[in-house]
This record gives sequence, structure tokens and C-alpha cells, in this order.
Amino acid sequence: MSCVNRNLVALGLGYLSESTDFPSLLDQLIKILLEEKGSEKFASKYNVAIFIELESAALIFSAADVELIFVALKNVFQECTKENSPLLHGQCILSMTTVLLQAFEKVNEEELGVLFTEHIEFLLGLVNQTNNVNNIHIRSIAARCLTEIEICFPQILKNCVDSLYMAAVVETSIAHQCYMSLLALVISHSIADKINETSLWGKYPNTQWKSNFIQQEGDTLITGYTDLKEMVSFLVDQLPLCSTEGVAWITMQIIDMMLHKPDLQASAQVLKPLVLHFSNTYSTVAGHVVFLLEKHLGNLIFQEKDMIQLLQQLLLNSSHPSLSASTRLLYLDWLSDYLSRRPEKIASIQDVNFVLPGSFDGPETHLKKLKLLSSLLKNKKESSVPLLHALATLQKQMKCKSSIKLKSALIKVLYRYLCDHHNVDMSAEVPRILVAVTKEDISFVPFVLNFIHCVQDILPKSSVPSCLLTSLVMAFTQPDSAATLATFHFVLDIFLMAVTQDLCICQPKAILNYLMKYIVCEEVCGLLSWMLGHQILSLCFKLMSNYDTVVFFYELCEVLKMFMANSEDVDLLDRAHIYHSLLVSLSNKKLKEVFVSPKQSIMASENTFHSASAICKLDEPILHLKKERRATMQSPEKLILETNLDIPEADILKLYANNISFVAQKPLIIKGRLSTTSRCNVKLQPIQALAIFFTAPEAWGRIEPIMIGHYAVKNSSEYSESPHIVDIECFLYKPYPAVIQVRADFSIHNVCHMCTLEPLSLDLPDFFQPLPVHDEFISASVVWRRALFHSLWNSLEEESLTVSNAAFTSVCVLQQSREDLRAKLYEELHECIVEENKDFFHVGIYLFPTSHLLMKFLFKCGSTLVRIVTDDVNILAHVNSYFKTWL
Amino acid sequence: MTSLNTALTMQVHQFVNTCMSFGRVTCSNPFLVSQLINPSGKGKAKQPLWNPVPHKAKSQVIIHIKEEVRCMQFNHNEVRDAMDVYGSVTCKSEVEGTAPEICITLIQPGGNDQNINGGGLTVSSAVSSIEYTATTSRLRFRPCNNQPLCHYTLPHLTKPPIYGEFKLRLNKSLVTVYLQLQLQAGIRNHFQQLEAHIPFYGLQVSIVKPSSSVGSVSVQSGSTLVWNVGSKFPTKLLNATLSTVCKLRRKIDSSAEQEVGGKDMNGWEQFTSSCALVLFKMADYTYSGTRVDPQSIMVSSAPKVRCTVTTECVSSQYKIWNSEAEVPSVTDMPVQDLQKLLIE
Repeated sequence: MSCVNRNLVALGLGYLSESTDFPSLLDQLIKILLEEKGSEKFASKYNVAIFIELESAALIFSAADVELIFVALKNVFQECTKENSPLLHGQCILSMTTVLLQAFEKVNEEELGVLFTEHIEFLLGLVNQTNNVNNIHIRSIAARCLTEIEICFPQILKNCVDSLYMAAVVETSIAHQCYMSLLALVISHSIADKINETSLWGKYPNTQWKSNFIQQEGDTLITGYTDLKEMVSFLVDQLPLCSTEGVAWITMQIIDMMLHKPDLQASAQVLKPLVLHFSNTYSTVAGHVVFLLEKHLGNLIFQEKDMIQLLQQLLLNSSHPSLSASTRLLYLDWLSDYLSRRPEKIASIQDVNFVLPGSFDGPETHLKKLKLLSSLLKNKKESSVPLLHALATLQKQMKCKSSIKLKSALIKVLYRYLCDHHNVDMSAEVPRILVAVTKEDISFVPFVLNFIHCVQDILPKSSVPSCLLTSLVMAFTQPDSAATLATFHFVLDIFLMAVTQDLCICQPKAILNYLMKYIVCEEVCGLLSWMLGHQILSLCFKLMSNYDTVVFFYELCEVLKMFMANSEDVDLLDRAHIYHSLLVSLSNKKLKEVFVSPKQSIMASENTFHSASAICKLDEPILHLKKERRATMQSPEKLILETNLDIPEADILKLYANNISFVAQKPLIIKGRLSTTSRCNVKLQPIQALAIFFTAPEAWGRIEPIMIGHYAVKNSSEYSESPHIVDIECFLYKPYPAVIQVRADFSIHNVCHMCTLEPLSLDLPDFFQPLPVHDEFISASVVWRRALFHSLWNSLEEESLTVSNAAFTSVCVLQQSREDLRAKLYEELHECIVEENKDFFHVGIYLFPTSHLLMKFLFKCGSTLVRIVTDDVNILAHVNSYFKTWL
Repeated sequence: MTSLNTALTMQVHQFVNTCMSFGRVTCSNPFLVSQLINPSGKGKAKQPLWNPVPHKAKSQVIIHIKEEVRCMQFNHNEVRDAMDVYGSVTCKSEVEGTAPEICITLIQPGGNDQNINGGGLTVSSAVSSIEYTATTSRLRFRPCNNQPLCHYTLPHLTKPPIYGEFKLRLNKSLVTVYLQLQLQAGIRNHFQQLEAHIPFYGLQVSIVKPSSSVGSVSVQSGSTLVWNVGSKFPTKLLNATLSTVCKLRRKIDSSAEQEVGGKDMNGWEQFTSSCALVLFKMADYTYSGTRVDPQSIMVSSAPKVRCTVTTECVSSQYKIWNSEAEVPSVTDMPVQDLQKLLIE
């Protein structure tokens, strides 16, 4: 929106920038367009039309928006008759066309078909009004809009070629240039076998317009060569009336035509006057036309003297002091292209000064000229010396002024020299120059290292990189090295690169001796920055991991020892200490094993980040999470004979109240069974770093995520038989049934995956727990629970009679047979049965975190009376639902 | 965009939408915008786009030649000085006719024919033909008011109009500057502007002891020593000398500037590799003698035309390098060797 607001302000429509969204902004813009006529409104409407053109992509959301804008702009177009109307008329057509073409990117093309057809008919209708002196500008704009439409939808105006030709012939006003440009494009597209794809390719609108502009059936559409030749001749004849830019556009279309239709090339000579006219120009547009004509139709139009003339003009313009640098660089590019295509013309360069860099030339010109020179002298003997001599000015300029552009130019030129002239002389001279320049200006090091990488890539057998690195290491391990503490990181970069090469290049002893004497010595070591210190230690690490340490054991030990003695940074001390310990205590072989194996070592590839992998979202879950059924076996504790509790009822409740406050802090654990679906083969796709996340209703509570490091196949024969039993830890506020959303994130082959699992449904029985036993009575749990049950029952029953709403009682009758019910009770509530005999069952249920459900089942002739006491009234409703599941 | 007001923005949009709608340039002349919006369309002959509205008043042609001299003088035995004399001719014309043509003769006494016809002459795309003689170039062209009619360069002119000698020595924070300028005999001794600038980028300069044979010395923008020589060199000797001592300080953002002294002078040696920039401007004069004869101007559609020809000569990158330090140039380029290799 900020860019939109900026445009609004720039167009004097800043007061609209308060609109919060695009639809409301569009409404306001439409309102302005539909306002009454008036000269003061002209500027607003014109600016709104411009704004719509600029921001059409942001303003359109549907076909309705496009239609709305169209209606409004067309209304302005039809009503505006004031003095400045050509401007506003033209802008309306431009905006309408832009909106329409933009709409194809956003709206389904079928919805735009009618509008599109109408608009093309409207534009064609305007173009058809040839020689109407009242709307020359509007017709010019209409022709340009049609050109844009033809570019976006090639061949859409194919049927109009003859009519456009007639219009271009008849038109005498300046609109004829736009007519000719459109005609040239339409002809070029019409005869092309293959059209370049545009951004709107494939969104071809189904248009069936019936404009008067189109000839009736039976009219020919440049079917014959004669027609085409006539049209091309007409276009060429009219070029002197066009602007240079118009000439360039039309000529390029003619070149296209001739390339698409080779038999048309027989008339290529019609373009000769154009070549002669533009052959002395400095204009880049005209120069480019001549260049393209030479490139594509050179042998048909250009005679030998024309070729020479073009070469001289390219040479002159590429070094003319009066032209801007950008123009000269452009001409240098064309010159380079011309000479690479026509190497036989190199000998025609009468003055080599044109391609030699001069004192006034900047780095870019130096670079282009020297590259050109290098390519001109390719495959010529003894070219190295003059080529290197030609570098002198660039080197001198670098001496006077340290500039990144100059350094970049020098390194690129030398790279090109080496690629073009990979001979003994060049292989010896290039490293010499680079070392000399680096010694003078140490900030040149990154460029040289980059050069080494590039040469190693392009010329893998070249000795230049090794020779250069060896010389650099030698140069910067000398006592007179130009490096200071501030620039030492450049030197370290050289050393670090050398370490990755072989021992001869690296010269570890020389490097370590240099470090000992000048860097990690007592005076300097304390001044080293944290980063520089680590870089030096990284160098030591690489030396240890890449080479046999026997060769430089003493020197390396000394460096590390000096580091330990002189450094004040704890990090550096630790790292140096570790390296030193490993170096002195491990054999060379073990040292390599320690250093080389761990892939994720922080030292393995410093300063690099692993690229973030994309997350793969699976549409179908590959994991199942189900509740594990509770065990139905009888607990052995019941068999233990227990004694009676000798505690008063009030004390039991007190003890219990204390106990429950601790129990409620722990999570409720529900056992879950995690298994894979048939969509996943764990053996082939091992699941790692599995995390299962639960989303529960906020008022219900929360469930802790489950983390599994490695989801292993327990049973190797069948993956489906290898479920994981997991603990689902619930921290709930109320023990009500809930549906929990489950999501799993995991990694397969180091790619992060995500899938949504089936929701987990938790019902009332899932929260059933036997009454908690106080720690002191753990050995007499049955007796404790029985006593607690009675105490709680009495207490809650008493409470239910009060108005405190702290306890509730209920009664229900179950119609199952005694045996069925007994079996069900054993199956479902076995752990919670506190007392039983042939006539009754007492069931005490603790509901996490602080609720209770106490039930007395009394069997009576064919039915069972259930008396219920609870401290949460909502539980009663769920109990009823629960009993229904027993039926 | 932020600094443009609404009216200017509107003009820009008018130009863009009229001359380069949909990003395709149909005409790059911004002066024609209003005529392209309201063109003339009554004629029977086809109207050229470059002349949308034929001129109705009296015809007139104004030609201006701007010649520039750029120079690098090193005063070094091993390094050759570099110099270029080049210029451009612009023609503002208001002439009758639907598609008028203008003809002028450019006279260059030294000749412009170095290697081929036209040598250093490169013309606008509006020029339809050129006829060369040894010292003249006759150009036929359609009106092109927004761009130079032609550019020329004269490589055979190698003697600079003003010789200079520049010496700069740095002694801690004191700098001794010596600059001598000598006007070549035969050059018109009358300047609209004649100055020498010695820049010390990033430093603060203060003059300790100014001494110049003519003109005045001052400091511009805090870091550039400016010697305003005046409007002419002393008539007899045709030379002028500046000899001054300046004090340099490091530029400090805060108002309290501290003198650095000799402690923090890293990188100051770069100023010894500096140059003096000579700026001059002469009206109604060209160094090369290039001119257009007003009598030779002809317009196809009008027998009588009011013609005006003006000239000026200005310096551009006219640098005199410190002869006592490193210079950014080399002795000689391997021209002969390369030429031989190319011909092989």
C-alpha cells in the first residue's frame, strides 16, 4: 500500500490515501471519474486515469472490478469535450487497455471475453477513422493499444492486415507512424511460424468481433508474396517520415519478417538506404538498427565497403570523447560482437589506438577494451607481451587510487588473458603481476582468491593457481610482509586456501614459523580479535586434519602453546588447549579420525549455514493414534488380606483432602497406541524426530506434546504390528469429554514432514481413576478406599441437602440382567470397585483433577437401582450417556 | 519522485504516456509532446512525426559549437601527456515547410580527415547526408532541436592551450603547493573563467601563506584550494604562478575540530598523487578553429533565413598531475606491436 500511497500523493490524490483497502479506494476513484463535467475536474479525472493505469494490478480483484473501471473510463471518454480532451481521451484508452491486459493475469479469461472483444472493436473503430483531424492523438494511442494487445496475444489481429495496410497508406497525419508500427508487427506475427511466448500465453480470449474494419470474407490476407513485398516496400519508403525510434521498431519487424520468410530476403536491398543513412550516426537506436541489419542480413545488404564503414563507425563511437561513457560501452559491446563474428575484419582496424585503453578511460572501459584486445589477438603468436603491456595504465591507476572497480577490472582482464592465451608466457606473467599487485595492495587478496577458484574451474590442468598460491604464501611469510594486524585477515585467507591444496603449496612450516614470530608472539597475540584468533586456530585445525603432523609437529605445538600462553580470550584458550592436547596425546591416524569424522562439527565448515529445507505437508496421515484399552485383569493387590483402618471418618477426609491437592498437580496419563498406516513403510522411510502436538479446547485444558526420537520398527516382519504405546499426559481443568486435534511433525530422510492425524476423542470413562490412596495406607488400599468411599458418600450426601451446590445426588435404573451388569462392571470399572457382594456394588471414581463420582449399584429383581453422588453436576449428564453405551 | 510536485509529475506522465506508452519509445523528443497531442492534420502530404506542427513565423537557425579540451599533463620524462579536443554542434531551428531540410558547412581548418572520410565526425540520425572536403563537412539534416547535430574530435591537436606544472609536497600536516600555468602563444588571452582547483578530499584545508603572481586564492567547501587567476594571463609573459603553504586537518563531524598533527596521518600520502584541475571558459572561440559559416546555411523550404552562430571553448577534466609523485599513466602503449599483430 505504501507504493500506492506514494503514487496517490504524487498525482495530487493524497486525500484518497486514507482509504484502508483497495476496494474502497477503487470506489472513490470511480466516484471521481463519474463526477460532473468541469474544467477543474479535468485534472482530477486525468490523474485518476493515470493512477488506474499505474496501479491496475493492485486494484483489480474480479471481472466486476474491470467492468466497473471500463464503464467509468468510457463514460469519461464519451463526455469529455473540453480543451485538453485529446490528452484525457488518450489516457482513458491507455488505462482501459492496461486494466484489461492486467485483468488476464488475475481474472478467469472466459469472464473477460465479451469485454475484450468490445474493446478491440472500439479501438479498431477509432483506428478506422483515418484522416480525422479531430482525433489524431487518440487514434495514435488506439493504434499503440492495439500494438500492445497484438504483442500480448500474437496473431489476434491477423485478419486485419489488409485493412491496417490501407489505413496506413491513407493516413496523412502523424498517426501514420503508429499505424505503420502496428501494421509491421501484425504482418511479422502473421507470417511467423513460431511466436515467442508472452506472459499471457495460453490465456487466449475467444473473440469473434464483427467490425467494419475487417474485410468481408473472400478478402485475401497477405496470401501472396507480391502483397507482402509491396507492404514491406511501403513501410521502408515511409521510414523518413518517422522518428528514429519509430524507424528502429519498424525495421526490427522487417528484419523479423525476412528471417521468417526467406524468400522475402530477395528484397532486402530496399533497406540499403537506411544503412547508408544511419552509417555515420552516434545515435544508439540507429546504430543498433544498423548493427542488427548487419548481424541478420549482413551479406544481403552490406557490401565490403559498407562493412568497413560500419567497423570504422563502431570504432569511432566506442572511443569518441564527446559521447557519454554508457554510449561508448554499448558501441564497444557491438564492436566486440561484430569482430567475433567477422574475424577477417580485424586486419581492417587501421588504428589500434581505438581499442587501446587511454588515460581518460575508466575501469569499465579498460575492462571492455582489454577483453576485446585479448579476443582480437587470440591464436596469434607472441601476443602475450603487448597484451600485458597494454595493462600498464590500469595497473598505474590502481597504484594511484585503490578502487574496487579497478581491482575487479584487472582481475577480470587477467582471467580473460589466461583463458584466451593459455601459453607459457602468460602462465608465468599473470601470477607474477597478481603477486606484485597483492604485495602492494593487500586488499586485492579476495580478488586473487576468487581468480584462483575460477581458473581451477575453467582450466583444471593449469599450473597457474598452484604457482600463484605458492608465491603468495612465500610472499606473505617473509619478514618484510606488508601485512598489518588490521589486514592480517587477508593473509589468513591466503593461508586457509593454501591449506586445502597440497603440501608444496601450503608450506606449513613457513606459515607456522611466520605465525610464531609475528602473530602469536607475546606482543601481538593479546591484540588479536576474537574472530582473527579463531581463524588462526581454524588454520591449525585444517593443518592437523589435512596433513601428516609429523612434518610440522614442533612448529604447530609451539604456535598452540604460544596461543595458550599469550591469549587472554577464554574461547581461544579453550580451543587452543583442546587442539594442543589432541596433538600431543593422539597419533596422527587417530587425530585424523577425531577431526574428520563428525559431519556436524562446528569447525567442519565454518561460516556456512545449512540451507533450510522445505516442509512437506502430507495430505493423508501416515500415523494413527488411538486410546489404549484399559487392562481388564484383576489386580493382584486385591488378594492381599488387609486389616481394618482404625481412623475416624473426619480424619480420613482431612488426610484425603491433603493428598488430593498433590495428586491434582500431576498429569492424568492416558495410554495411547501409535502405529503407522499402510501408506508408510517405516523400514524404507524411517521416521525420526517425531513430535505429536495436541490442540485441545482452551477451557478443557492441555495435553503435553509427545516426542519420539526414532520411530523404530519393533517387529521387523510387519510394520503394522509394531505400535508404540505412548503416555498422553493431560493437564485438564474439568473431566468432560472432548475432541482433541492431533498433528505430527517428523523427519524422513532429513526432510521435514507434517501431517494431521485423526482427532483423538476423549470420553468420560477415559478420566476414571480409582480413589487415590494416601501414602501411609498404600499397603491397605482396599480398606482405605472402602473407608474413603463411605466417608465421601456421607459427606457429599449431606452436602447435597444444603444449598451450597457443592454436591449432587441422582438415581437411575438399569434394566440389564444382574449377570450382564456384573460382567460389565468388572470389565469397565474394575479398578474402581471398592466393595461388592451378590446384592450390591460400590464404585468410587476419582475424576481428575478434583471431582468424584460415587455409585451404589443395588440389584433388585430384574433391574438395578443406581444411586449416584458427585461433586460436579455436569458429570451426571455424561454418566447417563455413559450408561447408554452399556445397553 | 518524492521531490516532484504534482504539476511536474503530470508533465512526466504526459511525456511518458504520449511518447513511450507501454514502454515502447515512439519519439524521444520531450519538446514535441504538446505538438504530438495537438498536431496539424490539414495537409495533403504526409506529415513527418518529427515535425508535427509546421512552423508559421519567420524561419531562423541558431547554431552553437561547444568545444571541450581535456588534458592530462604529467611533466614526467617517461610519461607522455594526453589530450583530446572535441566538440559538439547543436542546431536549433524554426523553419517553414512540412518536411524541411537544412544544410550547413562545418569548417575545421586543421582538417578532420584522419583515416577515413569523417574521421572524428559522428552525426545525429537526423543527418541525411554528409559531403566532405579537406577542411569542411557539409551536413544536410532535418530539424533536430533536442540533440547535438554532430560530435567531432580532432586527435591531431596534441598541444595543450595551457601548459601547467604542479608540485605538491607533504610535510606532516603542512602541504606546499606550487602551480605554474603558461598560456600557449597564439591562444586568445581572454577568459570568462580561469581557475585552478586543488582538491583534498576528506580533509580540511586552511591557507597559511598564500602567494600568487596574479589573482586570488581561497578555500572552497573546506577542502578545495581555489586559485582564481582572473580573466587573462599577464600580457608579456603569458604565465601565472601560485606558491602557497596550507595546513591540513582531518574532517571531523562535530563542530569542535581537533588538529590531528602528525599522529593520525595514515593514508595522507595519497594526496601527493593528486592533481590540479584547471577550469577555463572562452566565449566566441574554439581552440581548433572549428566554425560554421552563417552564409553557408541553407533551408530547403525558405529562401531567407535568419542565422546565428555562437561558439565557446571550455575545459573538461583538464588535469595537471603532481610531477613529484606517482602518476596514473604509462610511457607508451605497444601500438606498433599490436598493429602488426592485428594485420598478420
